[in-house]
Amino acid sequence: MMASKLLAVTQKDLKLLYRDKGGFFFTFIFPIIMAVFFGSMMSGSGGMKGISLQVVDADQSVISQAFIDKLDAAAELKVVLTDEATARDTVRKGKAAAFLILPKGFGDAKGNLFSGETATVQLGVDPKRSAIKGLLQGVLMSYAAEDMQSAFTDTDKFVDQIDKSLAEVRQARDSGEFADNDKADRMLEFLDQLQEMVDTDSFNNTSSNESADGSTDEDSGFNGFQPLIIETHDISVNRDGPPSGYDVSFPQGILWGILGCLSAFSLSLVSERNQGTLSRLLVSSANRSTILAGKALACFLTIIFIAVCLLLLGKLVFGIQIRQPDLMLLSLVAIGFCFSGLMILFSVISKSEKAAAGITWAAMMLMAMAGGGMIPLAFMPAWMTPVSQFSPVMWSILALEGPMWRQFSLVEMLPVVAVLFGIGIAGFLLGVRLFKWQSSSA
Amino acid sequence: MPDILTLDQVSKQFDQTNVINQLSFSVREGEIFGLLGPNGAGKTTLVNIMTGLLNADQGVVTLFEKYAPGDNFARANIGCASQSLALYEDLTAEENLQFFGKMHALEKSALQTAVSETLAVVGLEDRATQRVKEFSGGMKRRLNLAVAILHKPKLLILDEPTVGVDPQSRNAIMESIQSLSDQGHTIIYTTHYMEEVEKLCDRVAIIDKGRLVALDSVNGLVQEYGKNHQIRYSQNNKVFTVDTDNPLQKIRELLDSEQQSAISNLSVQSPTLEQVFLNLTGHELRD
Ligand SMILES: Nc1ncnc2c1ncn2[C@@H]1O[C@H](COP(=O)(O)OP(=O)(O)OP(=O)(O)O)[C@@H](O)[C@H]1O
Ligand SMILES: [Mg+2]
Repeated sequence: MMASKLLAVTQKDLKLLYRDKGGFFFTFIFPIIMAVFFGSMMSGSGGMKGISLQVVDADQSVISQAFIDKLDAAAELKVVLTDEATARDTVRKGKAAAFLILPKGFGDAKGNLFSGETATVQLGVDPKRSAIKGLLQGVLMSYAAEDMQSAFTDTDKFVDQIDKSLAEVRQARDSGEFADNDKADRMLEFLDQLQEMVDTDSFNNTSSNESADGSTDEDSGFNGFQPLIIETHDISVNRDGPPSGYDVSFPQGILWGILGCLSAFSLSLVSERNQGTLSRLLVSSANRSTILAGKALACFLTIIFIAVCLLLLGKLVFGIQIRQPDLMLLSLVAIGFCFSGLMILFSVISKSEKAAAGITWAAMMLMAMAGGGMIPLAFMPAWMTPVSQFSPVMWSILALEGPMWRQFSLVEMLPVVAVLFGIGIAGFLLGVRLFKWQSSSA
Repeated sequence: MPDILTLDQVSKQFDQTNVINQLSFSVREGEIFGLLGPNGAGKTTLVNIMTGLLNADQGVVTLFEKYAPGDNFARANIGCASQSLALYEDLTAEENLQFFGKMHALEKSALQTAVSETLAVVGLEDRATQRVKEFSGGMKRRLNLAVAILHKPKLLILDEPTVGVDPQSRNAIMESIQSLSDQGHTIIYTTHYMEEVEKLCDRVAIIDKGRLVALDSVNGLVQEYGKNHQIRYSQNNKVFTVDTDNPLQKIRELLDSEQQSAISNLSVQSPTLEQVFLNLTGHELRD
C-alpha cells in the first residue's frame, strides 16, 4: 500500500523531470559537456601554487633537515613531514599531491659533492595530478642546485674540494671500487675540466648561468652529473601509466550531473508547494514520509542513471578505467543515497522557488569548490583543504575514483562510503523531521 | 442524520489577528452545505482547517464523529477541490487523475474505471491524453474538481469550484455535484455565486470576518433576514428602485399619487439571498 504510493510519487517525479526541458538539460546534457570539455582541457597541464607535498626524512641528518627547510620555505610547496607509509597512503587517497622520500645516506651523498654518489630522492605524484610531476621535479632540482651553487661560489673551498675529489676518485678507480669504469672515467674527465675552468677564471659566470636555469637539463654542461637524482614513482598501482584527463573529468562530470539533479528535485517540492499539488498530496491518504521517500527515490534513480550513463560513455568513448565495477556499484549507491538525502533537506527548507534555487546553487558552489568539483584540490589555497573534508562532493569524487584507478580495497572504500551514507541519512531524517514540524506548526 | 463534521469554538490567528473567530456549526451527513462570505471572510482558511492543512489555534474539529482533521481515516474519506488549481501541468489529465488516485490507494482496475468515469462526469473524456498546460482555465477547473471526486469520498469540500468557468461548464459542474449528492455524498460548497447556493444548498452558513453570521436553509435565511422587497418602476423615462418591508402599501402610495399615469414597468422583487448576504455583511468592499 505504502510502497505503491511511494512508487507512484517516484514515477510521477521522473516523468515530470523528463518532460521539463530545462531540468533535463542540466541533469543529463550539461554534465556530459562538462566531463568532455574539462577532460580534454585537463589532458594538457597548467601552472600551480602550493602543491601539498608529504615529505619523509629517512636520513634524519642535518643536511636532509636543511633541504627540507628549504623546501618548506618555498612558495610552490606546502610541506608536511610524515612517515613513509602515511605519505604513500595520503597521496594514494588523493589527500596530498605528492610525496618525497629522502632516503638514508641522502646527507652523506649531498654533503660530499664529488663523492661520486649523487643524492637520490624518491618522488611519488598523484597520477590525477600528473601535470604537476614535471613541475615538482623542476622545483626540487632547482633547490638542490642552489645548494650546489653555494658550494661552487666559494672558490677556495671549491678548489680544495675538486682536488680532494679527484684524488678520491682516482684512488677508488685504481682500487677497482667502481663497478662502472665508464662512469668513473667520465667523472674524472669532468673534474679535470672543472679544474681548467676554475683556472681560466671564467668559472663564476658560467656556473651561475647553469644553476639559474634550474640545472634540470641532463644534457647541459654538467654531463652525467646532477644535483639530485629523482626517482619518480607512479602512485596507485597504476602500471599502465597515469590515467588521462578524462579519468579526472568524468567523476567531476558525474558530480555536476548529480548537483543538477539535486537542484531539479529540490525545486520540484517547492513548485509543488506553490502550485498547490503538495497540499493535495498532504490531504490524500499518503503519509508525509512516503511522499518525501518517493521523491528521494526518484532522485536516487536519476543519480544512478546519470552516473552509469556517464561512466559508460567515458569507458566506451574516452577510455576511462573502471577497475573494480563491484566497488563502483557500492560507490554509486552511496553517492545516490547521500545526495537524495541532501535534496530532501534542501527542498524542505526552501519556501520559495527562488530560495530553493539560491540554496541549492550556493550549496552546490560551496561543495563543488571545496570538494574539487571545479578546481582540482591541488590548486586550492591551503585553508580550503580542511574545508573540503566536509564536502560531500569531495567524498563522492573519492568514492568514484577509488574503484576507477585509485584501486581502493573494500576496507579503504568503507569509510568513504560510510560518510556518504551518513550524510544521506542525516539529510533525509532531518528533512522529514522538518517537514512534519512545518505541518504541525501550520 | 448524524453530523459528519462538527466545529466547536474554532479560532485561528494569522499575525495576531483572528481570521477565524470562535466558529461553531455542524454539517449533516448527505446535505449540501453552503459556505458564503465576502472576500477574506476566512472560508479558505476554514476549509484548510477541515482538511488538516492548517491547525486550529483554539477549538475542536471533529470529522466522521470521532476523527480529527489529518487523521488517516479522515484523509482517506475527504475529497477537496482547492480554490487555487492544484494540478501537474506537465502531466495529462489522465495522468493527473491516475496519480492522485494511487495516492488515495485506488488499485489498478478500480483506478482505471474511476478515471474514465470521472473524466466523463466533468466532460473531459476526449481531452484525457492532453497535457494540462494546454487546457483552458475552465477545463483546468473541471479537472481540479475531478481529482477531488475521483476516489468517491464521503465528504467533498469544494472551494469555489466554478470560478472562471462559462455557463455551460458551470451547469455541467453543478449537475455533477447534484448527482454526487444524490448518491449520498456530503458536500461543503464555497462560492460567491448566490444562484448556485439557491439552486444547490440545503443549508447555508454566512460568515464574515471569521464569525458565523447566520445559518439556515435558503428560505429560512430569506424569511428571517430578507426584510425588504424591491419595487422598480419607470417614470418619465427614468428608472427608480425603492426598498420596502411593506410592498403593498408602497405600491398603493405610488398608484394613488398625482403622477400615477406616468408610471410604467412596475415590478416587485421579493427578498433574495443576495440581499440577505449584503444586509448581513454590509456593503463596504473587502480585501
Ligand atoms: N497564510 C496566511 N498568512 C497570513 N494571513 C492569511 C494567510 N492566509 C489567509 N490569510 C488572511 O486570512 C483572511 C482570510 O483569508 P481566506 O483566504 O480564508 O479568505 P476567503 O474567505 O477564502 O476569501 P476569498 O473569498 O477571497 O477566497 C484574509 O484576511 C487573509 O489575508
Ligand atoms: Mg477563499
